[in-house]
Parts: sequence; structure tokens; C-alpha cells
Amino acid sequence: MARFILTRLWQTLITLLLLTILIFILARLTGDPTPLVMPSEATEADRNFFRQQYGLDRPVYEQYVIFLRNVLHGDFGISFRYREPAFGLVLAAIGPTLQLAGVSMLVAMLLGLPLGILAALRPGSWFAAAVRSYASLGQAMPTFWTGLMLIAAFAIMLPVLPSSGYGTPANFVLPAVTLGFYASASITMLTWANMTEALRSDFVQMERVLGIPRRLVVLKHALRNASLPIVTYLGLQFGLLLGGAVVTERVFAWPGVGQMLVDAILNRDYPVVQAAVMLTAVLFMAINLVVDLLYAVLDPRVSTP
Amino acid sequence: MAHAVIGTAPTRLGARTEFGRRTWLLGGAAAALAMRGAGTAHAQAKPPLSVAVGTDATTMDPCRIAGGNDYFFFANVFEGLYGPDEQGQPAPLLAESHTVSPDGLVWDFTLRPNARFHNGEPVTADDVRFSWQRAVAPETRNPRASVLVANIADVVVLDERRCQVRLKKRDASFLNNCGEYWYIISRKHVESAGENPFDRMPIGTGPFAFVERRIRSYIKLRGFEQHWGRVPAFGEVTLKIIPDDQSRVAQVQTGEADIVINIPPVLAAPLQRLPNVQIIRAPSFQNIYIAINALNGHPGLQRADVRRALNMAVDKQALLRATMLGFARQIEMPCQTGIFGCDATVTPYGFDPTRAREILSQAGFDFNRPLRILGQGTGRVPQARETVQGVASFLNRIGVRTEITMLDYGAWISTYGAKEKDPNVDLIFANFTDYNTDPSGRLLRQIRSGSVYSWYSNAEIDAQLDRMNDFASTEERRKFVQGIMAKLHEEAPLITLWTVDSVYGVGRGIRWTPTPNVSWPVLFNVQRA
Repeated sequence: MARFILTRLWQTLITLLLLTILIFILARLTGDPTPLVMPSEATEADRNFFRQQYGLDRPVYEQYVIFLRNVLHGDFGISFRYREPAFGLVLAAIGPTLQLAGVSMLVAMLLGLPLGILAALRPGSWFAAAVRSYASLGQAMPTFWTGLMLIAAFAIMLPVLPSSGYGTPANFVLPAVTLGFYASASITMLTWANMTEALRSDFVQMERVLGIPRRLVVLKHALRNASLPIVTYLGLQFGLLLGGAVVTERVFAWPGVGQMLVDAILNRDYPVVQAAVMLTAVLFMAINLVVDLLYAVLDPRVSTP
Repeated sequence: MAHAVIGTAPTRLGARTEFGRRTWLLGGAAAALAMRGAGTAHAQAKPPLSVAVGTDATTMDPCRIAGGNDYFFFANVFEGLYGPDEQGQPAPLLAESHTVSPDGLVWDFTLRPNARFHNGEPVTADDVRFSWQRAVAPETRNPRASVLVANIADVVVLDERRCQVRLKKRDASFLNNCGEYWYIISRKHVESAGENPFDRMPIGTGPFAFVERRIRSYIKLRGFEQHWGRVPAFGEVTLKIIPDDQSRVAQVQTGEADIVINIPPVLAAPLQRLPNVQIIRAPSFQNIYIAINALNGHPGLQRADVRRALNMAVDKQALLRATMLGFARQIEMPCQTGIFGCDATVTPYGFDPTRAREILSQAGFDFNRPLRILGQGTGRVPQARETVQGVASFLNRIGVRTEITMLDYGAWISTYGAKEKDPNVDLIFANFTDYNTDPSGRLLRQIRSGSVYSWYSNAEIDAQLDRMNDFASTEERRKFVQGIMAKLHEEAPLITLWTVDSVYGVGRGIRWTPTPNVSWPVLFNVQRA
């Protein structure tokens, strides 16, 4: 197991190094940030000073070396737009994102897992058909539309929840349901398919013949065997929510990292782009590592050389 | 960097519990200072006000303002010696009165006796001098110093309440620009607050004092009870940052916000039918137009008659109705009513596609070569994409071929404001917002040869622009500027389109007349109905 963890950590480090190069180059491909940062009244000298101040007048490789050296010291530079340390801005945004991603995943699992299991246990029934419709709807409805419909229903027509904002438990409900509903659709289908396969397997049939209680067969043995791809998917889904909930964050004015990243890209705020991508990538990799470890626990063959 | 947790005001959906919050600017100390001597108890007794805005301010430092988006904060928290009154005209703010020497170079200001900073300190002539010194100091790196403060040779303190501003050269736009380019700050505050004093603790003199900020979430202000004259009717004011248009509009529908700013026309029209929302519109200074590349684009565009013909080819009223749903006002000149000198008498281009086609044919316009139009992607300017498509469609009707390219804002402004103008662009969708009624900012940055947004060059007009601010007599200057505007109308460096209305969604419980010709909300005169 120790060797497995070390190997994964080593791979993570290499990936991060490659990522620094990639994100550094991609950020600069968006163009010179000076016209976006400096007002139209700025003189050419002011503009040149800005480029000089942030090292944008140096060769790209030199900028990269400085960037890498600073990153190793935890310094991602100062945001061009807000003139605050970029890492601090991203850290402030990652909290709301993690909170929303966590609650959304909870909603998705609470909806997706039971629906998938129950549909697998009732093949061909009206319930299975209803679950299939639910999953299709969940995947087909774009999150911005779901979000706006929920705002219309629960904030405007039936004013029981805030339409947007962050800071209170009530603020979580609509964005978490929006994201959770979307994610639950694929979790439902994946759980359904894997549970169907597990329930058809020889060992489950044998356990039924042996008279082991159905609940035990389903929840302990079949579900455990079906859970490997589901756990992997949940990890990936959680990782995607860290940086990919841009639309939902925008609709609900959620001060998360996804919306911040998009704003930073549009405003060519390189330091924030770099800090946001690096931080979400590290979190994504950490989640993958946890998933891999969980995988190894669930299936010991994975960590066996 | 310091962080603070500060209680939130109860909202209409019930008292809310804060958790997990990090505030980027130190609210606690700022609030404490702002409250000291600021009649806090009185302010707390007043009702709260909630305003939903689309974008966050990029800075709290009046010497680092990046553009018009920052003014929803600065116009409410800071003041100059002069600034806009409720009609948008320059009026004395921190100054009580002024005199000017016959040559226009020496301005004597007398400060109001009751003008105070939010920390309770009186505004003195020494603060005026310090505000200038900081604004021009190289270490401040004020990117807008060139407009006003760089032209000040010295500010002499005559006594506690009187100072003398000596200009290097005559500047007729001086008073007008005092409101947006020279905010008065406290020497004591800056010298005691350390590095980045305003990013940590913005203390001004405006009707609202800063309390707390969370970047990309909200800015909290409090009505300043010791203000010299514009004491707000509200206590705590929350400026909520809600980037999405529909979500921002929902804020006023649900009553979570009292005022919603920047409502796009497509959302404003249906809101007018709702019983609990008032749609208030006010003329803004945001001009929409198509700049014509008369420098190095399509060769035909270097001729003034061709540029006028392009103006005649577009039915601007029809386009305005279709794209802006009436929430805009057509303009004939490269400016609009309210701008000094924009009332020149000219013959409108009119909509005459047949005549436009004739003029182009007579001018030998190459119809086979398409006009390449650069548009701005959605987001910043309402109906930007539709406007470009509409203009192209009208040009197509007179036989002019067009090719449209849409760019995101970053790529668009890099092209529009590039030092060397792109010869592959013939027409470029653009917008320009005046900060006040003076035309010099617009003309010097949008028209004068070699300036950042100019795609046109004319030595005669350049010479006139260089003289534009060198007047002591207002009436003489007005005639001169009217002459420039008339000449520009003839030269047609732009396809002029319209000025966008500022559209606000306001709850029925609020009474408010937005300041006209100011493109950001000035909130001191908001009242409970």
C-alpha cells in the first residue's frame, strides 16, 4: 500500500509541474492584459510601467522561471484587477466552492444512489421507467435553466428562499439542488447499470439460493461490487464541481472559484488564473488520490503488485 | 492581510446567520473609524437599503480608478471640490465657493465649514493640497493623473479653509473634472494607515461611509450623518454584486434588493408590467457607435462623403426600436444632449439608402471589397451583437458587402485601443462613456489623431482640439466646441447610433430620481416612499 501511495504522489508531482507550464503558456495566449487593466486616460508611460511592474516585458521563459520560483514560496503574484495577492483571492473563493460542491454531491448521492438501486431491483416496472425519465431529464436540462426555473418557483412565485447570494444555509438550497439534480442523473444511471450487472452475477445468485436475506445481499454484497466505478465517478464529479460550476455560480451570485476563474480569464488576470487552476488541480488530484486509495480498500487487487 | 467577521443585517427573508465568511478588507477597523463621530446611533435607526449591481469595484483607492465601473462606489463615498448636482451639472461639493483669475490660471477655493471626513476629522485646505500631491506622486502611479492633476502647478494653503490652485495652463474642463479625477482625501488617514491605505480602509467625505467589503460579493456602506448637506435617508447600504442579469432582476422582484441597476432592455420591458417593481430610466452618457477606420482600412473610408453615406444607409430609429426596445436615445453627433457644446446646429444625416448608394457609386467605392466589421461579444454592452448585425444588414441593403467578426471584450478592447490600428478592420462597434458634461475627455481620446480610441486623423480638427480647453469665457468656449462638433458631423468619423438609458428596477417602497447623465447610481437622494 505504501508503495502504491508513493507512486501516486510522485505521479501527482510530475503532473503538477507539467500543469504549471501549460497554464502559464495558456494564460499568456489570451493576450496582453494592459488594455484591460489600465484606464483609457493612462499614458504610454503608465502602460509601460504596468508591464514592467508585473514583469510582462520580460521574455516568457524568464517570466516562467520567476513564476515557478515564486510558486514554490506560495506566492502566485498580485491580481492585476484587484491588486490583492492572487492566492488569497482564490483561497477566499475556494471555501464557498468546496461548500457548494460538498452539499451538491450529498444531494446528488441522496437522489442518485437509492434511485439507481431501486430501479435495478425493479427491472421493467413503471418505477424503472420513471427513473429513466428522471435521469434523462436531469442530463438534458442545462444548469442555468434549472437554476432560473428554481429561482422563479421558490424565490419569486413562492417566496420561501433567497434568489441568490451567499452566507446563510438558505442560500445553499437552490444552487445545491440545481447542481445536485444534474449530477444525480448520471449517478442514477451508473448505479442502475452496475447494480443490474452485480445482481445478475453468479455469487449473488448463489447467495440468494443459500437463503441470505435480500437486504444483506443487495446492500452488502451486490452494492459493494457495484460501487467501484460509482466511487470513481463520484470523485471525478466532485472534482468537476470544484472548477466547473461556473454557470451555477453565476446564476446564484455564488462567490466561488469557477466564476472567479472565468472572470480572471476574460480580464487576462494571469496571477488569478494561475492560482485558481493550480489550487483546483491540487484539490482534484487529492480527491483522485483519495478515490484511488478507497478503490484499493474496496478491491485489494488494485494495490497488489 | 487581516480578516474580520462582521454581523450581517437581517434581510426580508429573516435574520441570517453568518458562517465561514472571510472579508478581504478589514471591515472592523474601518467600521469603528467610520462610526466614530459619524452619528452611528442615528444611522442605525434608519432603515437599510439594498442595491444589486452587476460588477465589483476593482479598487477602493481614488488614485487607482480603472474605469466607469468603479464609480458606483466612488461617487457615493468620495467627493471632489466640485461634482455633479442632482441634474448632473457641476456644482460645489466640498468647496463652498470659488473665484478664478481673469487668465483662468489661478483658482481660489473656500471649503465648506462643515465638511468632514468619515473619521470625523474636518476637511482642511491642507488635505486638498495633500490630495493633489498624492495624486501626482510617481509612487502612487495614478494612471489617470494626466487628465487634471498633472496640470496643477501648485496648491497653496491660504488658511484652514482656503486654498489656491495654480494651473500650468488654462483648463476650461477643470471644474467639471474635479468630481471624477480629483477626490479629496485625508492626510491624517493616509499617513497613519500605512501601505495601501484605501484598499484597507477607504475614508472619504461622501454621503456614505465604507463599512465592509467581500470581493465579488458585496460592499457595505453606512449613511454619513455628519455630511455637509446630503445626509441619506438610509442607515446601512449593501451593494450586492450579482453578475447575472436575470438573477439581478430577480432581486427586485423578490424584494431582496430595493434597487437593481443596469437592467438590459430585454429584461426591462416585461418588468414594467409587474405591480411591485418600478422601472426608472435616466439618460446616461454611454454612447454606442461604429468607429470607421479612416486611417488604413478600406480605401473608400478615407473620404468624408463615403462616411456620411454609411451614416445615411442605417435606419437608426428602426434599429434602436428593434434592438434596444426603446431604452436608448438616437444621437446625431459624436456626443449627446447634456454634453457641453453638443447643441450645435447641424442637418441630420437622415435615413436615405438610395442617396447613400448614389454617393458611394459617385465616390468610386469598391463594392466588391467587403467591409470587415469587428463586434463585441455579449456581456458588457446591451445588445452589442444585435446592433452590429443590424448595421451590417442595412449596409448590405445598399450593396455593401460585410464580414462580421465577434470578439470577447478583452480581444475587442486590445484591437480598439491598439497603438497601431489593424488594417483588417474597417468598422468597429464601440461604446464610450463620458464621466461628466465636459466633452474634452471624449474628443481627446476618441477623435484626436493618435489617441487611444481614434481611428481617424485630421490635422485641422487636432489643432482645434488642442485649443478646446484654452478658454476663460464659457460662452466663447461653447461656440468653439459647437464648431468642432459641427465639423465632426460633417467629417463623420463614426456611424453614430444612440445613447443607452440607465435602466433601474426599483421597489415600490422606494422613491428615487436618478441623477441624469451620470452613468452610475448616486444614492444620497433615495427615499422611502
